[in-house]
Amino acid sequence: MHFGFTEEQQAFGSLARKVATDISPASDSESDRFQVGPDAQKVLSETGLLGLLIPEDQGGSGATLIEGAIFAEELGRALAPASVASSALISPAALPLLCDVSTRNEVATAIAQGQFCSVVVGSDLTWPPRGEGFAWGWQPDAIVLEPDARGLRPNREPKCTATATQDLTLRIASVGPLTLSTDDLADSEIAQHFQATANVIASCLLLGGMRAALELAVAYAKEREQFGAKIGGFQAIKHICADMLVDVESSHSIAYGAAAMLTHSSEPLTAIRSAAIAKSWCGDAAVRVCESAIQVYGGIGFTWECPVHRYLRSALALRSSFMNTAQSMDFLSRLDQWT
Amino acid sequence: MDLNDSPEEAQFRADLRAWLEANAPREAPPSNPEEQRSAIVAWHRKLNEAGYTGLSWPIEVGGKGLGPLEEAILVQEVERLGVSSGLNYGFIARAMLLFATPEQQRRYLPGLLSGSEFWCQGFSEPDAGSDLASLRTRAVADPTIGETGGYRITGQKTWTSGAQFADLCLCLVRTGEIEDRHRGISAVIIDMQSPGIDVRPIRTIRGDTEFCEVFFEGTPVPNENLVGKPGEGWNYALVTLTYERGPADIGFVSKYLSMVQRLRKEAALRGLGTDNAVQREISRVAAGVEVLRLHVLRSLSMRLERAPGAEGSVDKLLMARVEQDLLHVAMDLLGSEALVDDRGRWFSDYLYSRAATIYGGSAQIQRNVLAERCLGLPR
Repeated sequence: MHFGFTEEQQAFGSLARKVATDISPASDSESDRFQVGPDAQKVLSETGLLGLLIPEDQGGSGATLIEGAIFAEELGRALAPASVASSALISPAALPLLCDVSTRNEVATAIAQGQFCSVVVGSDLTWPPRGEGFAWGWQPDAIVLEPDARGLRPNREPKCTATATQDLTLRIASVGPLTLSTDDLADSEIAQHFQATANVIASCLLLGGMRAALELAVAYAKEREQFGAKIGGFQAIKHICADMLVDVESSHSIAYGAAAMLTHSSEPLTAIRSAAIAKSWCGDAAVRVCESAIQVYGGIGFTWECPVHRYLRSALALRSSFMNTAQSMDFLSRLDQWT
Repeated sequence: MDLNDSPEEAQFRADLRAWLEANAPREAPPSNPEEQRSAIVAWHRKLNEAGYTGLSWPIEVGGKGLGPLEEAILVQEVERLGVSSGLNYGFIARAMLLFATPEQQRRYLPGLLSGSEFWCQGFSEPDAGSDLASLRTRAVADPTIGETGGYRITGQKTWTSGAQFADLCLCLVRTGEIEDRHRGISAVIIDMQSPGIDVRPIRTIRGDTEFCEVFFEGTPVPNENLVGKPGEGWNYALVTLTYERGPADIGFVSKYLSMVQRLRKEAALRGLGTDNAVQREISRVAAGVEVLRLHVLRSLSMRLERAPGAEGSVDKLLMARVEQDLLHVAMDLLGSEALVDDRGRWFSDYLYSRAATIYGGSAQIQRNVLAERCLGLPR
């Protein structure tokens, strides 16, 4: 048993941090945080990170989900456009749901070459979608993976109406009412594996965001003075920060633990269960940590200028995405009844 | 990052399972505390004869030279069968391994291994709980004790688990001045048969007597029972306490796992097996137990690379949160039933869970530790 990063993974983490920072809009930029501009696209194509999870014979790096999780954490920390995680980390996991092998290979190769890609979720952001469909993490020219009679199909010229969300990094695009029911799809083993992967990636995006919010709050508490002392010296503030740390470190354990189980475990259901747990735990923890960070900042935390609300917005959107907390609890109840 | 057993770990687990299959006690543990204790001792001796004690101790002192992961596998496998992992003297042994002289190790380690000597730990005092450095049990030098002189101990310890059964006590005493705070503290081994010791069990909120008050009145302790140097006891205590987190934590996880399974059964028995609200609550605590499991595995894995430190307070706070949450859900589910008939021991376990944020350093002290030592906030 080994629960830790190899030296290669640590080096990859440094690279991922640099790339995530480089492709994210400056922290004071207010609009277009969802958009991957030409400079960012250049960085992505030079580093080949969009193809991180695409197999080598299709032009990607063939990395494991553990590297994917590391990249996701850094994207979350940098508040990078959601379309990057959507294309590089979530869409590749959905490709096995494409029925036709040659189409599957085409889309994989396109992603590895820098094509943006987006999976259709429901109006509540969860997967599988019901009612009206929305391309999650959409960006102009993205291929949209939408429901088909037997799984998913790529739509290269989708008729999309883009909508901003309260999460400044996330844009979704309506693809209109869905005519096909995807409920049957959800119980298949490949669909469950896709959902588990999306859960782990979202968990790591949440982890990166909450770590950043904790660091911001702690830095502020070491600087801000009231009553003639740094507020970080008061137990009321210390205990808030310590509880944030418990949330962050426990989230790290469950998010990477689930990633490792999905990568190596011989018991797929156990791994899928842990991924659902990761999603609910990290979602709730991230919202709590961001709310606490606002509290530590006091009045400043309530301003647009203070960066914490951006993390809170992202945490709320990610908590709802793919599988929300209530859904993961119900999923767990069903799984545990069987066993 | 791979959470599966390595081939060596898998072999160790398979051998252990086979041995447990043939040797683990099948009958439920007795409810009478005295009988319970002798059952644990008998089981500990059986484990020792089969070579399943002192797994992580060096071979030179009678250990097996293995690591914390093998210890965790042992705890996991025995707890899975609902059996105790024997006498838990892990952290006392750690103090002896780190700080005792070779003579002291030769004298005391075999008894710890075989379970022939019972130990207790004399740290807390009535006026020194969270503020342990203010302890005032005095050790006054007395040249007439033993062959080379020693100390006379006078004072009071409290919350001393198992003192009523103990042969020996690893005790923190003040050899310096009270104003010296942590610098005037030393660690000594006290023979509990010495004169001037009075042990009085304390009745807990559950009604049982897990721990005691211990009074010392001029109790003689020879110099050779001093562990390490005089005045360095505080450092030993801190290091020993960090070893309270570790392989044994996996045992808590196994215990909580079986409690969650029992909770699902209790719900089903009451026709609530498909009640969404009830099942969601149980799933919420089941999720907490899985998070704790993976967090403990991560901490164990870090243990292979470096000694434990302040980050162990995360484990303690998380464990307390999960346990108290679980027992709250249980009490909500059972309602007044648990108050009338506690055959399921839910009420008793609920009461016990209130200690989770108090023992081994209160939750507030753990938060101070994290804030100051992990996050670098001002003291």
